[in-house]
Amino acid sequence: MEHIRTPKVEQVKLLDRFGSNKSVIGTLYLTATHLIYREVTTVNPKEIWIMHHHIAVVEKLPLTTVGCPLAIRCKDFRVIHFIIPRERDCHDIYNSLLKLSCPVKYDDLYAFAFHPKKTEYEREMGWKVINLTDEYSRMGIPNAIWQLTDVNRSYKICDTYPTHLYVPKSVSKPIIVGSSKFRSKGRFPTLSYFYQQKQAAICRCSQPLSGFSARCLEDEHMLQAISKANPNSHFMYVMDTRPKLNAMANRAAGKGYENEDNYSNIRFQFVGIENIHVMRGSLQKVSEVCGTKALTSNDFLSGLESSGWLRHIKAVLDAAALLAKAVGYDGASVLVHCSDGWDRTTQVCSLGSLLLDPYYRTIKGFMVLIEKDWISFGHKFADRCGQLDGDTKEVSPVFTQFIECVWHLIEQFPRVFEFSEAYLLEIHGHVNSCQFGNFVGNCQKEREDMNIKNKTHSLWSFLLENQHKYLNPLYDPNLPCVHEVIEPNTVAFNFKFWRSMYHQFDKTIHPRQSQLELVLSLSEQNKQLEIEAKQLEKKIIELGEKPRTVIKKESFHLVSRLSQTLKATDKMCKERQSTPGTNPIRTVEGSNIPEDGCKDLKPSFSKAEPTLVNLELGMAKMTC
Amino acid sequence: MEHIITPKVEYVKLLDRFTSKKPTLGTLYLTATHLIFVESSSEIRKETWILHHHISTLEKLPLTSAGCPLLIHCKNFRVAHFVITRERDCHDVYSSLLRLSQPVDYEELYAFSYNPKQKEMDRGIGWKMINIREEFQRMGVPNVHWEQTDVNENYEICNTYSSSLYVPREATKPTIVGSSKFRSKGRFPVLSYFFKANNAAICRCSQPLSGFSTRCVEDEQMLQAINSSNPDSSVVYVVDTRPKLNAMANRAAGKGYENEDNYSNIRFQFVGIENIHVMRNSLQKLLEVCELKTPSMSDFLTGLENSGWLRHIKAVMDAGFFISKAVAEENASVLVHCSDGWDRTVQVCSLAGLLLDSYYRTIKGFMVLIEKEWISMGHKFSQRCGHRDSDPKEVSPVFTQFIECIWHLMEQFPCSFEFNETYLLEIHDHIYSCQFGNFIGNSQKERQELKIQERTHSLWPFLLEKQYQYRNPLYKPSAINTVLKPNTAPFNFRFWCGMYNRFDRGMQPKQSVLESLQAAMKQKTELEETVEDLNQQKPLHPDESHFTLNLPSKLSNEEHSPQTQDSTEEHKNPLANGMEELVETISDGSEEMENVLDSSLMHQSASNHSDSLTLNKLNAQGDEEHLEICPNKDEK
Repeated sequence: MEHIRTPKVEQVKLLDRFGSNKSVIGTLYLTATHLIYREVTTVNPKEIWIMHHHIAVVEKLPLTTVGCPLAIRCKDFRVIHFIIPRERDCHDIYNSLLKLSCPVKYDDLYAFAFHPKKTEYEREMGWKVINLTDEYSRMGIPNAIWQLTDVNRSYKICDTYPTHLYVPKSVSKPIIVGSSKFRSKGRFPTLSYFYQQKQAAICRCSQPLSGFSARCLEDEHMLQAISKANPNSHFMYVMDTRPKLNAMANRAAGKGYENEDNYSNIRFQFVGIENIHVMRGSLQKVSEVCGTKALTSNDFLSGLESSGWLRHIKAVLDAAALLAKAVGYDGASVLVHCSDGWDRTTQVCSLGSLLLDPYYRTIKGFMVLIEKDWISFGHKFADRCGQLDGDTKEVSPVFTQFIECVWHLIEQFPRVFEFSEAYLLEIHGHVNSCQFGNFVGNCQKEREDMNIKNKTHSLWSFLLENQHKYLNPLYDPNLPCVHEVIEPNTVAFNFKFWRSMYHQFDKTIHPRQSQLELVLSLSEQNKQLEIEAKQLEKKIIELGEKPRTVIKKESFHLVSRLSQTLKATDKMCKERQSTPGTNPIRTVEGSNIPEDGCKDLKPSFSKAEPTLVNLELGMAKMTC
Repeated sequence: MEHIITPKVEYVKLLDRFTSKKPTLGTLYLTATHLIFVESSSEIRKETWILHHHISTLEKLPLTSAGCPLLIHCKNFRVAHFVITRERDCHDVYSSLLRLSQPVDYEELYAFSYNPKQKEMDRGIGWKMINIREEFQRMGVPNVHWEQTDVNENYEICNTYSSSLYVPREATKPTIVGSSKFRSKGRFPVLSYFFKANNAAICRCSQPLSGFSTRCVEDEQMLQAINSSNPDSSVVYVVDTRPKLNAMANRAAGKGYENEDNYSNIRFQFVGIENIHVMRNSLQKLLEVCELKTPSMSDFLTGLENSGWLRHIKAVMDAGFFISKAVAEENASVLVHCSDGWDRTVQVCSLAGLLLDSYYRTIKGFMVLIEKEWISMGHKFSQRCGHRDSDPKEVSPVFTQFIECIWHLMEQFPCSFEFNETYLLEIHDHIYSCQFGNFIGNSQKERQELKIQERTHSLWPFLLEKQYQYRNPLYKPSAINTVLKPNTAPFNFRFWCGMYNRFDRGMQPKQSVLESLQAAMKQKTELEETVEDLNQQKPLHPDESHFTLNLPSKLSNEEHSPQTQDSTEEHKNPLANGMEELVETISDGSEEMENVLDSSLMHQSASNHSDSLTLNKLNAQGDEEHLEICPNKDEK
């Protein structure tokens, strides 16, 4: 609170990046957690809530005749342009936001102040929604070959790994310790995913400290054990996700990669995903392209190309497809690493498992996947998302890329994912929001030190409560294709710019009609109709009659009826709207009044504001 | 037939462009109209039919150890790569195809020999299905301001226009004649679309022969007449769809554009769509990108950018949107022209009409739109599509661009179109196929001379018969009477895989949303019927129970399980089964529908059922054969 000098500024203009030149007038409120903009002009005032943690860059632009422009770029790709009439106010807001958006210590994060109306018991249960031990036993671990090791019980061997790790039974403690000493940051090879059908495993680690010629018997032993743990294959793949050049350069620093001659029966392979700095630069360029006003088609395409973003996405997906193929078809175990084994390795391992295992394509399973491969294995969320005011060189959109890869998979396989795009966007928003404790900190140990589980809430229970919002209507667990290994096509033609992510908040450039919503309401109606039919039938039976159905002989007849019934349907929808518990069709025919269209779309699509409004109204009011 | 030297070649390999799968072995047949490849490897006889008229280029590649490769590029963007064992055979096939794919006379076109089993009367009725006069009546023309003129009855004034034209009542015959003399190819301003809601009109013409300073009083009167026919607005927009530079260059040749000073109350505007040659090259470059075997992301994006294709699509869309805005928001009439008024003008006028009028977004209405703007007003289909062996410089993908614009609109407004992507692709195919008479020739006059209506069949009734395939399940007729306002930010334009890589099945999404939607829609309809039906039963009618079913048992045991099995197999071997599946689906269609009808009522989760059904059709959907196969079954 001490940073807020001017909690309220009136007569602030909000500019639309792409739409008309019309600007909106409203009032700006600054609270301890949010920047809130409320329109004053319309009858139904729109509100925009921006969480301080979401703010990536605040810029004061040169003074104009109308006032002092303030540009805010958010981590969820929202870009907002305010014009504040008095320069003094603008300056105050600017300074406050600078301080508020870069907290210095973890305790300042929103998660520690966020208190939804929940009992302590509910909060605790929330943290128990996901249990990784259960997840491993779902995979069939521990079994005759793989076992749990307590070697890292008090984070002695590797402080960025979790305490519970799975290794082949045949490796003894000294071997683990020896191997961990030969691996960067002590991150020795451990199980990430076990593919039961073929007994093949995906393991992960960091690069070996091999330099130009160093060897380590324990490490060689370790790999041998992993290879032997798979009875179906006499060799294993070692996948270095870095470009070869980077890996070679690392040798000069006493790190590097495995020498095929020293390890028996490994097949070594580079897959060439660039490092976090390249990725950060690439995303930066994408944002620049997105922000250009009056962009031409050529500028857009050449900008997209020179950003290299889609090239990187393709590289990650290519690697994951390769991994899934090795495990799913060749039945070989794969050891994946990059430099430290917490960025590229995480992306590739988690995507590979997602391709292999239908469970990870469900709402719950996707949480488990993130919890297992990202959170517990120490993806440095705090550093990568810039949660605290720290080294900007550590920030990188590694998780964003993962989410985008999943989106591309949904586009290619619209029927095998239980969740929709909205789910991805919601999770992505919360990785940056620090509203829940899950993503705070860089590793399990840090989170334990902070006492996260006692002081904050878990995102997962919150998402599960709202899961109806994230359902993919085309998903049907009874389809056979749902349970198969999916093989994405990674030809360049299949990659496209993800407008809903990078222009999530620029409603004016979104399609005015949402397919997803229509389909959702359609399937809802179908359910209702089925219930209705059943009830009617029951009634008829109660009346002592046998139900009959009319069978249409001519298919032609059916077709010609389609259009009639479509019209009839609309009528029915209108009638249904009054029935409680039915989702009325929301016609978004925004062509006449685009602004209205946006408003209609808002409740279902924009994630941050409505959920926050619901949950934190109390909180925000209090802090005002 | 005299051109076919070797009608059958065995042991021919067909290579797949993208997947590294083994090439399929089969037999190549050459018929009078098609090149047919029949796979011999699988038990299922999978066939690939390529219409000779669809072939755009043929290439004999250097001999390899495996045989002689023959590369065929089609106008519908299929690329077939055959390897023929003996060079002699390859040469024979090559030279036959070379001749067959480039007919010299109109008489050689497929339409004149195509003969479905149809009565002569039905054929005649088919041609009468679309009536331009009725269409103008629908718009509210003739009215107090606009009338039909017979000035071009015998194509005397303009031989590329149709015979019945609509002009302002105020314009007298001498005015029209004078104006037509001042317009390139005599294409004087006529009505293209009338917006009933505010009396604004879209008119079209060709460029004026103004040179640097020539004037024409009649032409000025003509524009004045158009202006005064719209009392709500004081100005007429004159939209020149060319880039300004091109228009200025034309002045040196005695053509050019309207001088705002000479015409009262016009507002002149360039919109900068490039000419047919630029478009042809752009498509060429785009196709080169499509053909890259393993393009990197950069190759693809750079190639897409260099081709400029999406830039051109955006330009056309921007122009169409500009006109619809002028008409709907500013109540102003618009006169559109380019050079000759039969390429860019057509694109833009028809697009604007479609944005303004929901009728053109229906299956029937879209036909009417194409008939009105493209066919009757003389878009030179034969030259632009290269129907005959003629000047390759006249070929240009003008219509393809129009179709692609519609597709982009469908992406933005998924509920506003009665038809789906398949419909667009089907029409696009038939522009080149010459199977139906509609697109043969370059103008109405030429078609009359060829006696098209007497000698060929019309495409439209053929499409209407199959219209259930083209329906968009998301279509909401309630969205009627809305003017579409597309967003033309570059983010909204993307590469249309479904068109340019349509036949590369490895690249298509493996799961079709459209199919599952159609299934869900069908299910809904059936459920509603059941509910209605049951509702009617509730009042006591015990005597009529002739269809008494014990529903639950029948359903879950008999119907459901085989379906599921089918789809499992299907998924494992999606490529091989395509053809068979299709035939099955077509023939069993009616049966299946009945089954569904039975079952939908009591099914615990009825969606399973329809979903597995969908899967059956899913592969058939992407299957290229279904376009050609129906008509040709008859011929065989």
